[in-house]
Amino acid sequence: MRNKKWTVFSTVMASTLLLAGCGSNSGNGGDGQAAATTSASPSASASGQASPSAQTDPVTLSAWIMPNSPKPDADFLKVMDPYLKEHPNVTLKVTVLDWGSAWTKITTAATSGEGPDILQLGTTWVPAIASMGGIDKITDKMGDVGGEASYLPASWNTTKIEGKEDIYGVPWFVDARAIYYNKEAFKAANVDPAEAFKTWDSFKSALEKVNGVTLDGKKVAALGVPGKNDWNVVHNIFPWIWAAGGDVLSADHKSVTFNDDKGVDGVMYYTGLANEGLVDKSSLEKNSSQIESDFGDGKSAVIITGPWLAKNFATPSKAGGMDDKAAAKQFAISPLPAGPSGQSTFIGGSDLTVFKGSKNKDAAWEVIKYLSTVEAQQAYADISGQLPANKNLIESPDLDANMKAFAEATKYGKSYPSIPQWGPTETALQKHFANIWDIVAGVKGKYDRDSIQKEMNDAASEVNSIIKQ
Amino acid sequence: MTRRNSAKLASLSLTTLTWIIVFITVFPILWMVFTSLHSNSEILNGITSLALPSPQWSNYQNMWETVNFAVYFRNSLLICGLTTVFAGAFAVMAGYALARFRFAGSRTVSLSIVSTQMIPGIMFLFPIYLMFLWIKQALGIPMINTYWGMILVYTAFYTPISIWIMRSFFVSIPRDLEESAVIDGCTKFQAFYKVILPLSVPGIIATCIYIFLTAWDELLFAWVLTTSSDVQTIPVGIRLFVGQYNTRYDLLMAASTVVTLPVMAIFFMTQRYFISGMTAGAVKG
Amino acid sequence: MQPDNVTKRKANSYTSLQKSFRTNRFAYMLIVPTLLFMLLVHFLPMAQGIVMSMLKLNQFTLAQYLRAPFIGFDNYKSLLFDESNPIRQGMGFAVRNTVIYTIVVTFLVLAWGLLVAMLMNRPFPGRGIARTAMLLPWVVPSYVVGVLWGFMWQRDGIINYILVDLLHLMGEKPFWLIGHNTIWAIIIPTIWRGWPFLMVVFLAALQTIPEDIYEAARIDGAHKLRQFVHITLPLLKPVIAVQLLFQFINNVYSYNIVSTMFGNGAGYPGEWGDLLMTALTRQSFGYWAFGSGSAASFLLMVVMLVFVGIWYRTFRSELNSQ
Repeated sequence: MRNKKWTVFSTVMASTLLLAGCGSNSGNGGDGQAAATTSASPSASASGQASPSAQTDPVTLSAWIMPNSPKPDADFLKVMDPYLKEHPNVTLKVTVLDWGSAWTKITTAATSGEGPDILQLGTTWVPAIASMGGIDKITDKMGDVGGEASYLPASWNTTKIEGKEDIYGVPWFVDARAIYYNKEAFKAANVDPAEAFKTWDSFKSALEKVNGVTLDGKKVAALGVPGKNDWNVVHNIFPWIWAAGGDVLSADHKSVTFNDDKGVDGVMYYTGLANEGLVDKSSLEKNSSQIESDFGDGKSAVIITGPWLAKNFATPSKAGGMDDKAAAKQFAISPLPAGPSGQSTFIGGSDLTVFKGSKNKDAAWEVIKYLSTVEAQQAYADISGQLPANKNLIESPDLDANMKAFAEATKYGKSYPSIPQWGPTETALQKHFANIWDIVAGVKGKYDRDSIQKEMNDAASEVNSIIKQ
Repeated sequence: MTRRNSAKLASLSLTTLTWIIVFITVFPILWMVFTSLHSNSEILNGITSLALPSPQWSNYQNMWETVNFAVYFRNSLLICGLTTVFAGAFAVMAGYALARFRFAGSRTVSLSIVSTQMIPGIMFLFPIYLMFLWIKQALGIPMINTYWGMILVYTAFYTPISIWIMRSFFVSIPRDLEESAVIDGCTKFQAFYKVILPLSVPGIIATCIYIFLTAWDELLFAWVLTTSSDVQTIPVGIRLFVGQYNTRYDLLMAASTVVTLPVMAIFFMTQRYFISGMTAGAVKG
Repeated sequence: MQPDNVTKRKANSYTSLQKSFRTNRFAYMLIVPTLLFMLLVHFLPMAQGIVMSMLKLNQFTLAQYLRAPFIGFDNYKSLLFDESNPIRQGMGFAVRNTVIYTIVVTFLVLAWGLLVAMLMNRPFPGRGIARTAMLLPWVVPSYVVGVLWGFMWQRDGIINYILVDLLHLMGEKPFWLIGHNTIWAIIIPTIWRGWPFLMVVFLAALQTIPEDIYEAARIDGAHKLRQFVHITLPLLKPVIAVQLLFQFINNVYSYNIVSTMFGNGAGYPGEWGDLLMTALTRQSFGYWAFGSGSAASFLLMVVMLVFVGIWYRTFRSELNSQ
């Protein structure tokens, strides 16, 4: 009897002890993290102190990246492989964050200083995380990676906080938007693509002609447009505002201007295409992936999206690509048409940053330096289907023909103002622009200039209170 | 005769109705499995045909390669499994105490157990994260991104409701059993351990299934408290099939199916106990 | 704590406490580990959350955490009276949706669960299989439910196919994932996943009601509906009370299905899809409004406690009858 009592007691005690003594077992949890905290002294973090021993001491680096390519972590490690072979002392641990929860995660990490060594940030997030003190200044190291001359102005601007000189990130790859069109559909409608994408007017009349032509016995909608349930809601709309002569904020970034007449003109033009029946309304509940797939199937003749689609069209369907789709062999790429105020498109992408809490900043910087080399830039662009950030590569004559069209787009493309409040601003914009798409889809009131203007005014007042904080 | 016939007919139609309900209930699950056998572009197109000329079984192979899914799977099993053990143990102990003893503060304890369910998770999120950081700084025990950190949080989350379930189960067991055991010379502890516990196996299993399923389902804390794939659980990993530039819906559906299957298997194996546990315990709530 | 107990205890509090401790020593031993544990992971974080609700926490002060500037009740004031408070943006929709969602889901899950339980509470061939099959949705993780139903609700998806092409219930295929139908797109999957558990609970409870009570009622000439109202419902009241509470709490704090159906926490579920928890999470993190966010959470908690108080008063007799 006594014996059994003892057994139960010891189990109870043991379970309490186990909980109290979590530390002893932490090794199996984050060995990367644990190794990182023990292996390097914090004093080594100052720049330029890379002593010879630091180059050979075993070091484990952790990197947070986003799902940029089909097999995010494996692809990243593949690109890093030559470097890791050359530096056997470096172990790289890759964690892939999904865009949905990345913001939450990076915010908490930046608050606490508990995070990775190398951090990929969407270009619009750099100023926000920098102003929170989450990432390191790397101004005086930029010489290592070529400095301003090596990058496009639109991506260079995203590496710092607007109005300040300090640099916080190195552009890694560039995201730009251009038109994909189905050559067969244009042929069937007897429209010359060379003329179609010149101006807003020619674009619209081309769409009107293409709308409803039959391809392989199926009717084609002129344009595919993702609606509210997309992660690109904001990026889809701003090119048209810019082309109409509007802008997000005033030049001094003190007030909101996207809801002025020009801004509303841009939104009215773009959403008007959908309202006038040039878009299959079903597409307004879809996201970019679904729109791209519809385009692949010849359900729409024109879509606006990024460089990755060309890569998807070249990837076998067994690997999740779309090489079996009709449009995979019928598509061509063109820049966006010019509006009243000229051509424009959205330029985004991602930067690489050194996390403030990192204990291995020198080693982290070496990795970033490697990823900025021409070879690594090319390798990652090939594997991910993104546009490389290195200007020499973008402007190189060897660039893939599809990529060239995007390289062209980067010349007139714009990025968002590099203000610390951009994160909240985009959250607010996404919400209100989502409502605009609901209006267009006919599930939220009547579509007219007044209702769109009202929604944009609501967005403006919300953004105003954010930037004045 | 006619009366019996009409009763028979009524019974038959009720049975038919029941099976229709069963079909509607199960349909989405069948649809998930069916969808997972299509290619990505077929899924994106919208599937509206029940014909499946060439099932794409390769999805079930590729899902492990595209995302390192096995690791997330292992982590979920470990974290949820251990959570179940700990929360189950706490629930058995505290549930028994609350069911059988009226001690000073027992009502307060009961009420605070219900009250814990009232706190919005989001309110916890930051404090727990920063408390974990503090524990690491002050005591040197890493908590964020460790199995133990996750298990601690989940155990604490699911203990209150498990206590509630266990308590109602113990209440349903007649008191006389212990009383006669005590008269026979057992201590209170022995009465609990030798008489009540064996009788409670169905209730414990029911509670454990409940804990496991709830932990398996948790999302928000798993996102924030884990920072590397060493510890991240399925809800974190499964989202990686959704890329910004290329979403693998085919693999996502295959993974969803795979995630659901082991839970179903466990459930099938234990459902006999589960249902008898519910029958005994749920009656009292 | 009953008043007579309190007075008794005051009379010779020390000895009685000692005695109570001795007789209940075993109970204390059983419960203390749990209490400590809950103190650590429930009480301490909650206290911090309350402190946070009185701090000015934004992008620039977040790193200081509890040392951020103390501003008293300003967060509450701004939350209640300042229209430009970041947490308030779009919160009206979230509150409205949560009210509808909670009421509809809670009611239907309980009603449908009870109805099917009664249907199942009679012998028929394959009853065991049917019961197990019906429970399957409960085993599907809610993050899978969100993704799966997200597919099914598409305009070209299977649900519209069944409703429009197969059954011709509607003329044109409706949108489910945008516009006001969104609320149904989140309510129905929640019910789908929720009712089977209730069915089993009710079925279990029904099986403990002795058949002879119904027999006696039948002899008295009571028809089925009367039997249900006068026998079944009263006997099930304690079970219903408890399940009502837990459903209520679960639904008010529902997050997973909406979050995974719409952009995995980054998207905006729309004016008819947003719930309190998705809105609060998005606004707190999206706007770095953790102070106001905590204040809102705390207010919500107080409101919930009031509801639970009402619930307790309503069902006190049933709960104490245990």
